[in-house]
Formats: sequence, structure tokens, C-alpha cells
Amino acid sequence: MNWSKITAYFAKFRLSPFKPGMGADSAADVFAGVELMRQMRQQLTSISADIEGSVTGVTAGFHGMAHRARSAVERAATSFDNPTGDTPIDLVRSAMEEMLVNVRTSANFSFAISKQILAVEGKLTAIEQCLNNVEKVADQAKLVALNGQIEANRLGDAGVAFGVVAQETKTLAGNAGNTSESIREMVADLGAALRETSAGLQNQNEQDSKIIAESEQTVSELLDSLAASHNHMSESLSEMSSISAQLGQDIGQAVMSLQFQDRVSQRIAHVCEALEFVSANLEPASEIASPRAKQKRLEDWSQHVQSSYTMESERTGQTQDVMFDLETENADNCVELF
Amino acid sequence: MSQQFEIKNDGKTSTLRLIGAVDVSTATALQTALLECVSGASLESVQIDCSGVTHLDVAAAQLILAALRLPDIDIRVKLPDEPGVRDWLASGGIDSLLVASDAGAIA
Repeated sequence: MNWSKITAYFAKFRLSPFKPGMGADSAADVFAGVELMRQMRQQLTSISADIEGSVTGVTAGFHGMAHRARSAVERAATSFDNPTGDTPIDLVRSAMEEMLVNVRTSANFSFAISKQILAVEGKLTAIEQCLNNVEKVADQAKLVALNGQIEANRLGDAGVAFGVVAQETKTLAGNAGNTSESIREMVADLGAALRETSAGLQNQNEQDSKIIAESEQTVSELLDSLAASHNHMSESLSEMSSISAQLGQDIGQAVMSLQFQDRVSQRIAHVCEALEFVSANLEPASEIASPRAKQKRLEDWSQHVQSSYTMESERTGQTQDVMFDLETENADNCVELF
Repeated sequence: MSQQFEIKNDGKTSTLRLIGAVDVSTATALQTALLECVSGASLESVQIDCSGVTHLDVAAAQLILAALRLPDIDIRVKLPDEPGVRDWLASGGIDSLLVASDAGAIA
């Protein structure tokens, strides 16, 4: 039995400690002390349970925080990593370069078509030259036909048949000339269309080349910027991973520290056992006190003890035990800390 | 081209002007000149101007007459206004040309 602690408790509340052999008043004091110790034992048990519940909640919260932080970092790392070893930026750069190569190939093909069109235009010029020759032949044939008609006319009746031949020859020459002229018009239309197409292609090629160059520059700059961001994110992720591990260690340490609450509970239980032992030994000494003196002393001591209570739960527990009405007492003094 | 022939072309009408003596020695040149005048594809009419002719032999006259008979070509012949020359031309034996003149082809 630790009498020094009991004495210190009484001194803390400025009460007179129990002194054996002092009569009925002392017996009333013992009664009040025993009663209060019982109530304090109950409160200590309740406090121990509250602390244990709080520690369990905090520990679970810490574990949850650590788990969530670790999961978040792992998820980020998983989405960031690529099994092939290439970063997404590398993949995008490769795809963009391939696309630009295709565009450049297409532009080169278009340029080749433009050159082929120019070659076709050269062929059309040759065709026009041939048509000139055909028309020249047609004109000469017409001239020959006219000459034949004149000769036929000079022969009079003897030249009628020859005049018919000359007329047919002239008609054929005219047809040849007309056909040549039609072909010339078609060739001219075809040449104009080809020239327009060629000019459009050349213009498009120039624009494409310019756009490709600008796109290459823009894509390169964007990819460089993305690569820098990617590296920064990678570094941040690595740092987050390190912080997460450190956080886990800190939380583990905190949880381990909180587990010492068991020692607190055990010590409180020991104190309760000690209080119970003291009460059991003191209780026979209170039997000589009258019930009224017991009640009066218990009310005085309880009132004194309650003056330091700040929470309603403390006061309620006390009220239930001391059996007198405190509902009207000092409502303004109630201070809830939480 | 002999100096006895002048050819003018305004795009619509081709004019062959005969000058001086036109005889058998110039028949080939005359035929070539006639063909050149009548072969234009876009010509509306051909005029053979004989107002400057001082002599026209039968062979040349027959050549002009043959040209006048070309189908699909409007050919007109302008004879000299001066009656003496016109009579002299007539006396030169170009009756058929005058017949053609009566038909309206010769002014």
C-alpha cells in the first residue's frame, strides 16, 4: 500500500487525511474517502478505456494514411513506368518522326508528280508541232485540190471527172484540217489543265515544305518540353516514393510509441487495484459514523472534488454516484475542452 | 512573184491585182497567185483586179475563167473602166471571160 500517494492526493485537494482512532467524524471522513476512491477508480477505468479507444483509432488512421500514401505512389509509379523501357515521350517522339517522314515522302511524291506533269506538257508541245505539220499538209492538199479544180475547169467537159476527184481531195484536206484543229483545241485544254494542276501542286509542295519544317520545329520543341516535364515528374515521383517510405517509418514509430498506452492502462489498473485495496481496508472504520454524518461528509467532499471538473461527463458520473442534485449547480462553470 | 501581180489580204477579202501584159509566159505565176488568193480558209471573197491590165492573152483569160468556176468561192473580176482597153481586151479573144461578165461575175 502506497500511503504517500494517498496522502498526497488528499493534500492536493486540501482535505484532511484519515487519521485512525479519531471517532465518528473521522469515520465519516473514511466513508467519504472510500466512496470518492470508488468513484475515482471508476473514472480511471473509464479514462483508460477512452484512451485505448483513441489510440486504436489513431493507430488505424495512421495505418490507413501510410497505406494510402504508399498505394498512391505505387499507382503513379506503375502508370509512369513502361515495360519496354521507352518513356511515353520517346514513343510520341518516334511516332511523330515517323508521321513527319510519311508526310515528307508524300510531299516528295507530289513533287515528282509535278515534274512528270511538266514532262507531259513537253509531250503536248511535240504533239502541237505534229499538228502544225498535219495542218500544213492539209493546207497543201487543199491547194493541190484547188489547183486540180482549176485544171479541171480549164479542160471543160473533159475535166469534170477530174474536178470531182479534186473536190473530194479538197474535202478530205478540209476534214483533215478541221480534225487537226479539234485535236489542237483538246491538246490546248489538256495543256492548260496540266499547267494549272502542276502550278497547284508546286504551290502546295512549297506550302507543305514550309509547314513540315514549322511542324518539325514545333514538335521538337514540344517534345523537349514534355521530356523536361517528364523528367521533373519522374524526379518528383522518386522523391514522393522516398517521402512515402519515410512517412511509413515515422508512422510505424508513432504507432509503436502509441502501443505504450498498454503500459498506461496497466498502471491505471494497478492504481485501481490499490485504491480498491485501500477502500476495502478502510471501509470497516466508517461503520461507526451515522448515516447522516456520512451523507453530509460525502456531499462536502464531492462538492469540493467537483469544483475542479471541467467536463460534463466527469460531472455526470459524479452526480450519479453522490446521490444529490447538482443540476442546478454552476451551469456556467461547465467548460468542454473537446 | 512577178511584178505583174500584187496580192492584198485584209482578212476577209483577198485581192489579186494584175498589171501590164499578162500572157502565156506568166501563166504559171498567175496560177500560183490565184491559188494563193483562193486558198485562205477564212476568206469571204476574192477579187481579181484587171484594171491595170494592158494585154491579156487567151491562156491567161482561160485560167481566170477556170478560177471563177471554183465551187464555194465567191470570186469577182474587175475589168478596166477605160472602153478602149476593154474593147482591146475583148478583141484579144477572151470571149468566154466576157460571157462570164454577162453572168455578173465580172464588174
